[in-house]
Amino acid sequence: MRRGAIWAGAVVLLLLVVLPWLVLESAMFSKLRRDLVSRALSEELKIPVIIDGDVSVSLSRRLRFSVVDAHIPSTTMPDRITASLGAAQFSVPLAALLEGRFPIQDLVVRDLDAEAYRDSAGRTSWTQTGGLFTATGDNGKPKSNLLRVFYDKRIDIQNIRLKLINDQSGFDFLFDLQAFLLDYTGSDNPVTLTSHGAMNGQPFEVTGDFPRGADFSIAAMFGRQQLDISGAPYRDGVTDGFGADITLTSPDLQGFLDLVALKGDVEGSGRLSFALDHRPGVIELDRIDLGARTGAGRSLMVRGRAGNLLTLDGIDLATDLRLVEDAATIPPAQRLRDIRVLRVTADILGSRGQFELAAIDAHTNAFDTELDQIGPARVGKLFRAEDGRLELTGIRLQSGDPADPFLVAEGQILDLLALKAFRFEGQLNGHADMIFPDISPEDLDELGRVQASFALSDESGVVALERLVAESTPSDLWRFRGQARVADLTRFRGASLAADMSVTGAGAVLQVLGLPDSDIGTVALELGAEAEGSDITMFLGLDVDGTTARLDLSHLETARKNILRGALFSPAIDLDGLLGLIRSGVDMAKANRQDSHAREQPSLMQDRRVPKPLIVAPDGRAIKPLVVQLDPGRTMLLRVLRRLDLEFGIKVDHLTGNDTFSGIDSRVVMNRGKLSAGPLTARVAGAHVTLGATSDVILDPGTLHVDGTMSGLSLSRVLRLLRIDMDASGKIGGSFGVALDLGRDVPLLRRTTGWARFDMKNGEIATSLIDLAGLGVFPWLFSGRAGRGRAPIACLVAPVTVNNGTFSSNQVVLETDAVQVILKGKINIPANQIALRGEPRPATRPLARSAFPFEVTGKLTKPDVSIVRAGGESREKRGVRTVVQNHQPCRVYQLDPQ
Amino acid sequence: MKQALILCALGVLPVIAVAESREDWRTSGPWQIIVDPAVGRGCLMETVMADGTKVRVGVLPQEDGGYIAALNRDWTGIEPNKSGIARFDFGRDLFEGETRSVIEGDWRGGSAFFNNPEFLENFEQGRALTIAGSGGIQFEISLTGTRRAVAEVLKCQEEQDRQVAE
Repeated sequence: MRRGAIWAGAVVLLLLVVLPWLVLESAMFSKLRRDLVSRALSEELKIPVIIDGDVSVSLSRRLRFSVVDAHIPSTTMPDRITASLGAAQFSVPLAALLEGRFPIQDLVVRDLDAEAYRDSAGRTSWTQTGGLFTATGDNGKPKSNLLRVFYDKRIDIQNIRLKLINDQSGFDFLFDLQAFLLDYTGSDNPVTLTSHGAMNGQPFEVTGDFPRGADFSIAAMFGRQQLDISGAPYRDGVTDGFGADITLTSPDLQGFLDLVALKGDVEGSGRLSFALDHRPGVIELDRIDLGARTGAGRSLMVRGRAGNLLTLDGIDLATDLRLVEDAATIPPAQRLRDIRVLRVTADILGSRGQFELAAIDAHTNAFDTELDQIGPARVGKLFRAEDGRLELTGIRLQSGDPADPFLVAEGQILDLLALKAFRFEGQLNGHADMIFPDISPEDLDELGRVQASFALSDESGVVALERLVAESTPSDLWRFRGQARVADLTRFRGASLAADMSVTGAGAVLQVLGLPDSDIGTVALELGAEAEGSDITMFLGLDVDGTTARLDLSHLETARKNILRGALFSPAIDLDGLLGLIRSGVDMAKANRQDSHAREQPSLMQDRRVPKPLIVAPDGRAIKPLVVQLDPGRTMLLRVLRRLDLEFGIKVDHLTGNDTFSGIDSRVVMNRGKLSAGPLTARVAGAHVTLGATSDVILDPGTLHVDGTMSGLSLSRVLRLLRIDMDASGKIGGSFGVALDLGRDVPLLRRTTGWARFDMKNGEIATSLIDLAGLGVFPWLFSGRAGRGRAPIACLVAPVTVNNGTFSSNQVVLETDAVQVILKGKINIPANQIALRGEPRPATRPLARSAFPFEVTGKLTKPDVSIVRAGGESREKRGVRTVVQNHQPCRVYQLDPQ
Repeated sequence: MKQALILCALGVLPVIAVAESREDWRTSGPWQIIVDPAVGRGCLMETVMADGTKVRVGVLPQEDGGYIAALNRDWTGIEPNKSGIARFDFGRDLFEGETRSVIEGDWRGGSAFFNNPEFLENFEQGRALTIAGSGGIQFEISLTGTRRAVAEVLKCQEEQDRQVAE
């Protein structure tokens, strides 16, 4: 009996002590322990946990498990392991175990390797629902389990390598943490988080407090970047999620790029803050405030909100990008290549993943422009390339009416941070109403469209317009084709342009545009240009009914000069047709100007007038400024004129449609503001006139000096112009030099001053009154001239000064074969007045007393002619009978002074 | 023509070159006309008044304007790189503008940029000019002979511009 009791005791002891010991610790039950613990952990964590090593359990009020070599395989990617650990210890309360639960507590892990992998197709190595971070709610929808995991566990992990690999975005984050401690000291106390190590090679440190159901806070340092999060879970019992204020401060933007392994070269600092609202399916950012400033003085400010970051809905961001520190210090651009963008402001609006740039204002040092809305735009993918570039691909951008966009472009930027390695290709679709805003829709259809395709890229190392090909849609009225390319847009190098346009029914086009009709038939234009920086060569060909012309221009810029050479050649120009074309052009320009005037709201702040001072000196005088605002347009023009070295040739063989010019073979030259043009041969009032003109367009732009010669002016025509009804023959010639005041708004003659000299030989006039007046009645009667009724004119010499419409002379000499007449006086054409005195004498006795000195006075159009009885000059008193031997016609004889 | 001085130029404040780089051009009464290569061959007129004040008026060919400067060995209180305000009283008209301190060896003073054509008209046609600076210095200069001297400066400048262009 006693022996039996001993055996029974031994069996009980075996069952109570040895068997549990064997089950809990002996190698014999190792597999059993592995399987049991593996299953329990898998059920608790909702992910499969496989234990490769051994499991031992120590028994007390809690079971303390020790696990060696375990891993968590990916449930979605069989070849990947989500986590593996070297050793772990954790406790499970005995009471919970007896109830069939397996709540892990007091977890201690050594050597943990974890990986979260998302492939390029977006598949993840972890399940999107269930698991540690997301749980399934009562209604079957996913609910955030992100914070819950922190509340009831003490976790102590050492030697962690956490890899977050995202092949979809290209961003990889490698956390190498020496320690991760989540300390939970009771239900009323906060869970505290501390961890330190390295992230992507940069020192990393984080601390946080997570009181259950109360405000939490996290402070993390990534290198020199500081992240502060303070928030609270929603406690209304309805909303599942949390709200948090998040601030990221970066005193070193380059450090931030290094942290996220992006290639970039930027010095500066930045700060980003926003309020985050995280609910199932929604990440809302409000009060977004981003400010970044680089060492180069550039700054970016972004303010606004994002309704849902996950769906990119409700995006409303006001951006202000300043590319220079102080725009006022940037001088106005004088050349194309000097133009710099100073500041761009825009509102970015986003809805359902599509973006629009609204209210874009671009300010440059040459002009400010308000662009129409650009958008919607869509971005396919933001991706970090292996070498650290940030790529933006699948960009689609459009502008204009969404149903019929003016611009559609697609492209990519392969180095977003440096704005390099980009390519955009697209189409432009322009309507005639871009040029003529008020055109009716029916007429718009008649004129058709211009469609273009383009490619813009910097693959060659510089920004290039690789291709621009434009063509009008078929129309009976007009046709346009053009192509352009620019190898270097920033310096405008390697540019070429070719375009041709023909307007089949120019009159019909004018009708469509509501402009005065004209007789213009077909107009064809051809344009070609090559540019290398500021050096440009171009030609323009024009073919209008009856007119063919070709204009060649070349521009070469040197350090001190802009050399412009040009030539206009035409075998034939019909001036009527050309003037019609110019009139149409002017009408179009006027129509556009009127329209733009109607739309413009003139800003008083942009008024160029010099304001008068508000403050005056104590003695009442206005204080004048030393520096006044010069008209920028005029200043620019003067700069251009000072540098301009121009030579332009014009050769038109036949000029029809006018009576003045039959052809032109002339040159225009300008150097340092000194303009000279000529010769210009014209036919004016039947006379041939050859003109040359000069002007100093910088110092005296209001004055044009014209000089020239004239020949073949018919005397009879002059008499007709003077309303003298008398037959005459003979051709007058001469030369002149006058200055025209271009600034005064009065008839040309009244703005003319200078001199002229007219002369004539071998003419005739149908009156013998001149001979009568010079010879006296009786000599005339007996000279045989009385019955001729005419007088041959041996010569005429008329030096004249011109002064604002008044022609005056001290000595006009008119000589017949018998009589010399000397005239002096003036004719004021604007005032219609004449005051002339004439003294006719025998030609062979030019010192004789004049028989009938006369005066012509009164109105030029109705002059009074009177004989001056008491006439005569001093020479007559002493030389009455002097006969001149070898008289030279039109020579004026004077007695030697006494 | 008198606007030529204004039109020949541009910019903010003149850089006054050191004296040795300047080239004498000719004289006009008490005024010495000088070419200053340091401002892009700008011509200037300069004289020293009876009270020892050196007055200089010049063209800035690269700027849209000119400058007036006054220096005196006794103005020892003027410090380098200071800016201020000065008034220029011609009796008929009163002007005000920004000045910048100028130091050339023993000479200390200030210089003001101008592009207001009326200032030059007053300088040519006036009899005397009183200058007062915000630093407390006030003095009067005679404008005798300035009309002819300004014409000479313009002639000089035209010659320089021609040389530069060629």
